[in-house]
Amino acid sequence: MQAERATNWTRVTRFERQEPWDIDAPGPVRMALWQALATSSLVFGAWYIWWRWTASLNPDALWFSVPLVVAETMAFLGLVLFTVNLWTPRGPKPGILPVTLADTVDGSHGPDRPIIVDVFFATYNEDPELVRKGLIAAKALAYPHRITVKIHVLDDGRRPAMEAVARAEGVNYITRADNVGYKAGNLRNAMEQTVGDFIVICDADTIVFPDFLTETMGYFRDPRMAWVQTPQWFWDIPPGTPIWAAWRRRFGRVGAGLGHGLEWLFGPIRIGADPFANDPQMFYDFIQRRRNWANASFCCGAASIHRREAIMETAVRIWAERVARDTLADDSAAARLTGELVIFDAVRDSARMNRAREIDFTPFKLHVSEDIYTSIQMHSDRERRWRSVMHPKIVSRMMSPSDLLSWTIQRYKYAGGTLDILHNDNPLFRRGLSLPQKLMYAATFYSYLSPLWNVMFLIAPIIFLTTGIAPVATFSLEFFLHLIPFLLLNEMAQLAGLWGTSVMSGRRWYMAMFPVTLGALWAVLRGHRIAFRVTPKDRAAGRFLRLVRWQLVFCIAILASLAVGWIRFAQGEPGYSLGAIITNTLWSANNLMSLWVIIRAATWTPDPEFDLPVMEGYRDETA
Amino acid sequence: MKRRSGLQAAREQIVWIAALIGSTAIVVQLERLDLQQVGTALTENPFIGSGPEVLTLLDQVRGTDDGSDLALAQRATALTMGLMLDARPDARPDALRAEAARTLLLLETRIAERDDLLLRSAAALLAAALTVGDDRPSP
Repeated sequence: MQAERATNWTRVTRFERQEPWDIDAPGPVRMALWQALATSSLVFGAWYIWWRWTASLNPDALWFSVPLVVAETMAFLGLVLFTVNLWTPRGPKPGILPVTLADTVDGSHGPDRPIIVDVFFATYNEDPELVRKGLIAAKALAYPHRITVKIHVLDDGRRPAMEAVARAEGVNYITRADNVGYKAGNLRNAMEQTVGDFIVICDADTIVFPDFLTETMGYFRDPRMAWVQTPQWFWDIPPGTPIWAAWRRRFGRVGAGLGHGLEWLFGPIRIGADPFANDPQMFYDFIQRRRNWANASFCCGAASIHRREAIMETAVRIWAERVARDTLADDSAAARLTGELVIFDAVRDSARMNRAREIDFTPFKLHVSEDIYTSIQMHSDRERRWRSVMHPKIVSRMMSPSDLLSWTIQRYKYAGGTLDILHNDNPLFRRGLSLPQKLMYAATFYSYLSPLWNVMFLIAPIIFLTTGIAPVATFSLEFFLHLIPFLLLNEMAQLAGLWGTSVMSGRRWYMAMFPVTLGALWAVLRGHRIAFRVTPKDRAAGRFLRLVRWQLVFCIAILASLAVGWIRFAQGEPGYSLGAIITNTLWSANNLMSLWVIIRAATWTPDPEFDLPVMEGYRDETA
Repeated sequence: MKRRSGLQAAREQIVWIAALIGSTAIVVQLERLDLQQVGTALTENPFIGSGPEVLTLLDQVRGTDDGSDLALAQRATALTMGLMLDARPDARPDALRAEAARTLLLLETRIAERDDLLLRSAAALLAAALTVGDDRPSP
């Protein structure tokens, strides 16, 4: 069936072909259009926000008006940061492939020799046979010059079966006695036992392509290049059920015909495609890649290659800074305790040595979001001025989360880890980061605060529809004349700037995942560990409605408020003008569509005819 | 292929843009109709041809008053016309002024509850007519 589909590419999606996205390559005209529209959008947006604050508040309902306009203002600031992030795709280009180590470093580093690359496969409890596929692929890495590639399995699960697979494939097996530091600790342990000049990070399910090194090593001609991140492409994303097939099942041949007709008009229509919005095209090909010009693309873990020297130097620097800082604190404490004005050098040195022994040396920052945290540390190293780059070509593939529980846990950790960094080690105040870097990191961190105002956007139409109390002085033409130009220009800008990816899907999920991010934010503010509690019934259920209970509550509230609002409008009750009812109905419909994506994901099951062959295709793969 | 796949990816966004434009057009049209309705209510006499006399008009308006905003505005407009006429057809002009004052008060109460353009316009005309009447020397 896949072979048949492959010949009819006009009506086959890339999920069905199991191919990655087309790399965005905007010409100067499209970029100019994007930048012009984006700038105009922000100007009109600022005008709208100014008008909202100065001329549109409802003085009889400031308790409602003010929170909403605050939410709109915060969302607008997020849009400004997003626009900065997406401004331009220009960035460094790879040089010619280095032949020996000397081609990748500055100055003398001893006798020249071929490059050594370590490939790390971090695993814990994944199927050893799954890891084996990655090991086989790693052994096929190609390079036109003499190079030593050493493959290592980093098993935090300490499993005999995993060791057996590693030995059978002729790769190194590394484990440790504890699991301190999660993956970061696992990587550190491996770094202590390996010597490669460069380190490729792989997850247990990562399959690197043979051209991984030939695509990435060229960047390391720049001796300041610390790491290269490549897209984490999920090749097993459920493609969904074609509409003609779904209607055929329901309505027979007539349904199939209608479905084909719709697809002839509008292109492939797939019901339930990518149910968890796992496809990361927007994130890698647009958001991350367009941070390259600011030297602010951050490491995302798997499918990246790192310069060992950069990791170790940064770790040493941070360790030394921390020892010095804590020693200074000890000095002050000792002075307060003893009343002495001056501490003897010998005493201070002794304290420093004790601190040096106590403080952990961590090449990868021991944090649930070690990737972004380590990136921030390297980017802020003003002395070495390390660089990073997001290479756009897909040179590996991975497997995607296939249920809402896995997805939720993953997103919760991302959110919690990032918010924890914002709360305890805010990069905006970090010395060493340039202004463009701070703006880029601000865009990332700020996006995780979005549920604070997204919740207001969910609540506002419900309040109006049920009470008739408007958050604005009037929903008249004046309101539309201020809002619509901004909205339209913003849409046109994103159409131009993000051509080729589904903007609406990202927006829906951005709104729909508010409970996950709010939960993470609450955990961070209370100083709790970032861990997602999983109950046994969650895993057993298969349908995860409990995970979307808040979205369900809002859906019911929205539907009820729509009914109430329209009934009251029909009865001519004061406050319900037609303009207001239309505005809030559209707003509610948009909210419903946003929440629906995650509710659908909670009840999603793969289509055995169309989804399972893609999702389970890896089982039939041979070396 | 890039253009086609780009169009497919942008389908939902294009529909959303169309919805924005469509809803704006609806609201603009509604506002236009609303203004037209106000203008019509103020300029057209629904009982035209029923009786040329203002007194007759007033009686008709009072008789068909259903308590709605439109009926109130029509009554106010008829009273305004009555006050503005130099010749007072009503044998009791003070009664007309008193009725106009009561109607103006009622208008102001309604306007306080909901800010309606039609009512505001009618109230402004009636208030102006009452003021003009105050300036005239009494017969």
